[in-house]
Amino acid sequence: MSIKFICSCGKHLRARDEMAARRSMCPRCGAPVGVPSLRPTHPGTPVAPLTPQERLRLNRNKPRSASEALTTAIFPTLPLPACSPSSNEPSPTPKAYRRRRQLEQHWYECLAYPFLSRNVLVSFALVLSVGMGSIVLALQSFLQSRFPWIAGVVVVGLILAYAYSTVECALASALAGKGAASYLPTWSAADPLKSGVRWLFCFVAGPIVPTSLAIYLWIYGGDLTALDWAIVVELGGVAAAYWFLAIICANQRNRLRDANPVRVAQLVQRLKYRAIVPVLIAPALAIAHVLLGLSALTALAQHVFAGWLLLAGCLCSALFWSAFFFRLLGVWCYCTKP
Amino acid sequence: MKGPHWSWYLLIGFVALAPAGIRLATWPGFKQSASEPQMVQAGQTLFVHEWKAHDPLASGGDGLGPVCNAASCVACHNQGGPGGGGDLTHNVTTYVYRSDAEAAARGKPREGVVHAYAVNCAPETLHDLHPELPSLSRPSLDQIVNLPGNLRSSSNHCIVAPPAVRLSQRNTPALFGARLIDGIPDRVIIANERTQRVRWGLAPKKSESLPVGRALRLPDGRVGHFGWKAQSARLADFVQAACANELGLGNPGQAQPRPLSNPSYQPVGYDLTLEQCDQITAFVASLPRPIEKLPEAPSLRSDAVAGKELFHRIGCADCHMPNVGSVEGLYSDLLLHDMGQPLEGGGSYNDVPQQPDPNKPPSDPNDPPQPGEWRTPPLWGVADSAPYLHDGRAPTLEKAIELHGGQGTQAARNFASLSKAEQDQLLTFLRTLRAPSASD
Ligand code: HEC
Ligand code: HEC
Repeated sequence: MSIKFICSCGKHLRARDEMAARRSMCPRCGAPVGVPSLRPTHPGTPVAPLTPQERLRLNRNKPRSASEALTTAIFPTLPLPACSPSSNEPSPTPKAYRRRRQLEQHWYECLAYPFLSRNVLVSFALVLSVGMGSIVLALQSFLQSRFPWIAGVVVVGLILAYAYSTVECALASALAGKGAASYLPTWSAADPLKSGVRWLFCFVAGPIVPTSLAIYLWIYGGDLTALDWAIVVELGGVAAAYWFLAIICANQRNRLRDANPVRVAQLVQRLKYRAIVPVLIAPALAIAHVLLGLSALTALAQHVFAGWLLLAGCLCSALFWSAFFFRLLGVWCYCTKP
Repeated sequence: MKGPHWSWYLLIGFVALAPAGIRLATWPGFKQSASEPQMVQAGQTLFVHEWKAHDPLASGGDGLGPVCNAASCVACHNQGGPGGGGDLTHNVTTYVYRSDAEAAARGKPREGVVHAYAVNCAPETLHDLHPELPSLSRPSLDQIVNLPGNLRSSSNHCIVAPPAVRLSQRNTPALFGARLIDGIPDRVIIANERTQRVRWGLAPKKSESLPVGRALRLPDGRVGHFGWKAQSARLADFVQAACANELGLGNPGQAQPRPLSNPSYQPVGYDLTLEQCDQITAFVASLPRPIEKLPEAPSLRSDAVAGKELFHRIGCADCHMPNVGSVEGLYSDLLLHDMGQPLEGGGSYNDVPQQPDPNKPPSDPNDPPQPGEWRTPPLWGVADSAPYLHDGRAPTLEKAIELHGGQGTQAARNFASLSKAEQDQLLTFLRTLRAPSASD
């Protein structure tokens, strides 16, 4: 057995049991690291004691890494929480190290975030695809009584709420300045319900208009020309972008009423050029996923297994991407906090 | 940092709104032109006119024929006044060869009509299509389709067609309210297609059992409105085709058919001008729409109301949609539905000029109609247009419902599982859908 722990630079490390509670050096950043002990011995001491030289070197390293962060220009005024020496995290257990991990410094580091909770996300995708697929298949088989699929919709809705409150944790944790780790909602129904209400509210308070327009155009516009497709995609993009931003606004101070156009505009202004991610890139991916998901649901009628596989893949990818984007936006918001 | 100049925002906003603006400006509405009274008058004359060979009204051509199915429009379209439906004796016989090669080998068009009569030339017979078929010009319906015993009207034997040709018949539909159908924009019919698909869980366009129809796109991109196979986009097109195919009156819109018995026949010129065709179209368009006429007796009246409710509940209204666009009480979605093997019938009454493209996958949504596909007939005026279904094989409404197969199977089953009293209520409702001139 080996001890797994994480250096403050984010590198995953592994040490033999004999190294427990001893010091070592991180192969990536060169900083000294304390290997956690197998049993917590000195509460309040996060790492094994350092030698004075080590302490000195550590202190010298810190400002430099901060200025490095500056030059990467990702977060110009970044107060790195995990770097601040006055860390007052009391728990010395390995779990505490996970929590004390540093906030991502580069955008691509956020890509790792969804993989921290990959098991959970993949499970959600599988369960959801089975649920959604069953509802669609039930719709296609002359289900006379409405009850079974209304029940199905409720169950799938609940799972969806859980899945998205998990994804929302990526945002909430980053907004609170917590380092990368797998954040999950509690199993009490309150979390997902609150999350569900937030998502719904943010949808109704804006994106519902362009979405309805896009659906109306798709149904009543005849065979869509390239121009029509441009409009549908544009409307879908606007809806997705606004929804995304509104959810971030509502999360920032945990107030639903922040999901209004003024706050959204302020957020965009604050993000400056980074706003291109929530305004263009994320919506483009969202539209691609919606189209892929719809074609998967259509394919379900002819090839159940292939359709389901496509749907599961699409959901999985959607969950991973949204976790990434929420984490990234959360980090950026944290760093640009006025 | 200084923000971008405000004109940038203006430009972005403009670019973003431009497509929507263009679309709004070109949104097609319900187009409907009132026809001029003198056009209608002239059209009526032509519609009821008994055509003859070298007819004075057909100044430029050979008049009636060389091959035709009747001598006037009204000979077929007459139930409940000029423009109504027709009986079995005026059924039109159509054929289709199973492959292009087969048709080419016999030197015949791939699909067409076997005309009932000939003027100044040898009549067309089934034998002209294939040597194994008898020399019959006017086969009866039960010679063409193997109807179950209770539907057979005579003791004729069913002709066993060789595999190379497929024969079927078409019954004459009523033309009342044709102007309203003509005015329905294509996009409304496509909207029916989309909503049906969404309703049944994004079902595929060519479902075998779900009531998910498809709008027939003609090769020029327009959507079919008229004909049992939705083969014509506009009323004017259908009228031109009817003049040529039914009466042998060639016109600039549609050449008259060459006799199968004499393929080298040369027409002398056009029998009708486009203007004359427009007059007939104007007359057909002036026919009033069918009506919903509730019975006088209060008990029947409540039955009809309950029947209408049942009509929706058991799924008839999925295809026979009461309202389409701004047309109320049509009871059709104008979409093609696969009605199952027993109702199959290929061939076309007037040409659907598209051939299945061998390079395209067979399930291409823009394929020409399949043998089992039929346009949902509008049920307005249905009480006055017996017999029913595309070839008139169902003498009564009950029989017509019972014979629904394919995508209509479930609805027919639902109907069969209703109690006798409920079935009667539904039929009472259907009997309130009357031709415009209906009197009790
Ligand atoms: C031999 C009988 C016959 C004669 C004569 C005839 N029709 Fe028809 N008519 C039919 C049949 C059968 C159909 C259905 C054809 C189909 O859809 O394949 C039809 C369909 C139509 C339709 C389309 C109706 C709809 O709702 O789809 C129009 C319009 C029409 N006829 C007009 C005319 C005109 C105008 C004339 C005179 C030039 C005429 N018909 C002469 C038998 C006839
Ligand atoms: C899947 C769509 C569909 C459903 C559901 C459906 N129909 Fe039809 N109906 C059609 C089509 C298509 C035809 C024409 C078939 C043919 O001509 O071979 C038709 C023909 C008819 C006709 C004959 C009309 C005529 O002018 O010849 C009647 C009457 C009718 N349907 C009544 C009903 C009733 C009542 C129900 C409910 C029990 C029902 N239909 C359900 C598609 C449907």
